[in-house]
Amino acid sequence: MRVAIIGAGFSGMLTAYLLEKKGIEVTVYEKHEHIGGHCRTLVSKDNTIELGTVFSFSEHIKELLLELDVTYTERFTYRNFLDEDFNKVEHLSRKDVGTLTGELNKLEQVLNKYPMSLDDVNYGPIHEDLMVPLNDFLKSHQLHIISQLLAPQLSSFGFGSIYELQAYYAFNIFNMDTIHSLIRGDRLLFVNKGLSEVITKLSQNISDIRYSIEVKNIESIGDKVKVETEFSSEFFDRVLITTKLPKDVIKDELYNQLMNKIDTNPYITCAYEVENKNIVTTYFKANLGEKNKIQFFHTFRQNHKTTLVAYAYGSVNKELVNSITTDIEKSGIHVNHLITAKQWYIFPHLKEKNLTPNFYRDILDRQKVSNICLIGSLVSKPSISNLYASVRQFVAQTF
Amino acid sequence: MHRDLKFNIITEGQKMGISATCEKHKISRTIYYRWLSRYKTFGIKGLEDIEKKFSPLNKTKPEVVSTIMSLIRNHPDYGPRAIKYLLEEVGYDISESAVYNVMKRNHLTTKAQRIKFSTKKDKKITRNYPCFNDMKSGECWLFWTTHYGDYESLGALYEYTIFDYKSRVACTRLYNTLSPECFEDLLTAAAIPVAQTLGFETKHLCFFEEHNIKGKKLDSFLTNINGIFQNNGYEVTMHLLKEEDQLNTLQEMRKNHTHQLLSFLMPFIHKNISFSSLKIQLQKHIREYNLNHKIIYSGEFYSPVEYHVKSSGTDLILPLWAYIDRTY
Repeated sequence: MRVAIIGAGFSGMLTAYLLEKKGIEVTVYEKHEHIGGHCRTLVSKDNTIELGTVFSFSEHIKELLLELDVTYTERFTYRNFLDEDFNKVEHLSRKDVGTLTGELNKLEQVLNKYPMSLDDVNYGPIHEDLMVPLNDFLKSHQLHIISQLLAPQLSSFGFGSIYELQAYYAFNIFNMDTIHSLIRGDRLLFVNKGLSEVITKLSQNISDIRYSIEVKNIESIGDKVKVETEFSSEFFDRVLITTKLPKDVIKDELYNQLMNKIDTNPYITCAYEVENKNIVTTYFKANLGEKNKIQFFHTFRQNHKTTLVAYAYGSVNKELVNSITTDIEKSGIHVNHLITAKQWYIFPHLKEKNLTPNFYRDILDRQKVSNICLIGSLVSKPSISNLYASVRQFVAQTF
Repeated sequence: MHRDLKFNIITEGQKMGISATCEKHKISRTIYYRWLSRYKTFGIKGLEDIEKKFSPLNKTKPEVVSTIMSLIRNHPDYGPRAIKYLLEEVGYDISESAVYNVMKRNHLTTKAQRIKFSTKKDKKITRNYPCFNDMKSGECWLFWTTHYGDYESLGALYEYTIFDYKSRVACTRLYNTLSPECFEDLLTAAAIPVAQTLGFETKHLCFFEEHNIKGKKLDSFLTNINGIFQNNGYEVTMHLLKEEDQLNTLQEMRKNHTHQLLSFLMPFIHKNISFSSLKIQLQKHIREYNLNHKIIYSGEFYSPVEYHVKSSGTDLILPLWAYIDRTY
């Protein structure tokens, strides 16, 4: 059996690794000259900077890290909040925290009504109640404090504003366990040498990776699938797609139609070297969910140097990067220099107008009969530990 | 009488009534309450037979030792006599042989040893006291553990406390073992978040040598702790102090803290509460202590957190977890 995987991000590389371990012949196509997707670590002397994905919730991922002999640390992240005048403020006031406990119980009961929609590692059938923006959903259940609690988290992870993001995605990403864990401020898992190390270790176990080769055409012919690039065409028994492809690359009407509906969020990360020593993750409360404004920064100190990575929705341009730098300085930080400003397109999802109750069910149904499959963050919430669970389940069920 | 027996008698008294227990074991109520009070102040250790350690009256005072050490660091090429003259200039009248003895205790009798010592600035570990007089709120932490005893339902019970010297802000957790991992948990889950929240500029951490939590691997333990501090942007000197060196003020602080904790915890312990509920009860109690318990600070009453906020001139902004019970 021969399998092609399109996209060498975490999901693609993990799938290839798991399949090759099963003795299946795998080819990975990556259109960029480098692999890893959103796992991107910059290195300078002994210091590492995570430019994309920073950490993982620890549930499942540890077994993979042990298997690959990748060392990790679980540590606490300390958070601050700033208001529009860059003064330190509370995330929630003492009075609101009192109300929060009651609201959490209520939310748990509310969400229990939608087990089909929310209790799976992959997206699935969507209950119509959950197709409204999160803010509307919470408002209709009078859960005002919960929306204040979740807004900074959702915007900082790149999922957008609570006025736009549908409740369905929000509660897939932040289920009750995750919400409780965020409130307690549980430890998060960081890879010591950066997530790129995971990608490197995976690649050392994969025999056939094609770099800078863009796939132009994917077409079922008989019981094979033809994969065409600018330079060649090859036949496979199965093709697994991990990334949003341009219009008409897949010659399959349903997939093509579905693929066209999937959007991403333009998101930028700016990394800086800064002078200050003990600064913590900081959220800019007044900007949350807004485009072209700094959302938050996280920071880490290694070998007597402090690095700071700031996040904003929008596209890399001089004006935006300068405004981010200014806002960081206004919050009392002495910036030494910018290390990089990087453009991302993250979180494949459907905007309000495109989302239908059966969207993901249609994909899943199609996959049962087609030898072209969509996997990874196209069909599952994009956290490393969840992608791991999703890919592992897919490989176990399909091969 | 062995400490475990005394401990059993105290426990029995809490359950069966004190007079009956005293009669059964043929001890006076005075003795019972003396033991109880010592237990509440020192934990199990307080029940051991008191062994008076001989400490010569003319032993060089810790603050003098500390000055001598800093002079050696600055003038590694000076011998005991030159150091003695320097001490006179700063107002200490100490004999040359006393200076020599301090050097000997610290393995610094040769010039080569002293030069090596003075250039070793990276490793922030010392056996001397920090200078408590100039200490600001948040700058100096004391760390101790107290063994509360072994209980049938709870197992071994240890109090771990990191305590800010000036403000008396306390971070206390309960654990079942003495280990570096528990200390690290207290430090990263409680003490550093509190320091970040209150804007502490922590510079010193004092350990007392009784601690076997670091086991045999003292060096790797300290290196690890040093790394945690550095990664959080703190430059902290670690002071390894001997228990018998404890200044009276430190001893008082520790006794008061442990006494108020055990007075609060004992009724829960004897109600056979589960370990996780006991930990949560303690968390609530410590929160109440830090935020609302009024203590006298040079004539005025504040809670520890209020005192810090006032003396550092910062605003108090509390994070979410400060209000919420966190299991550990």
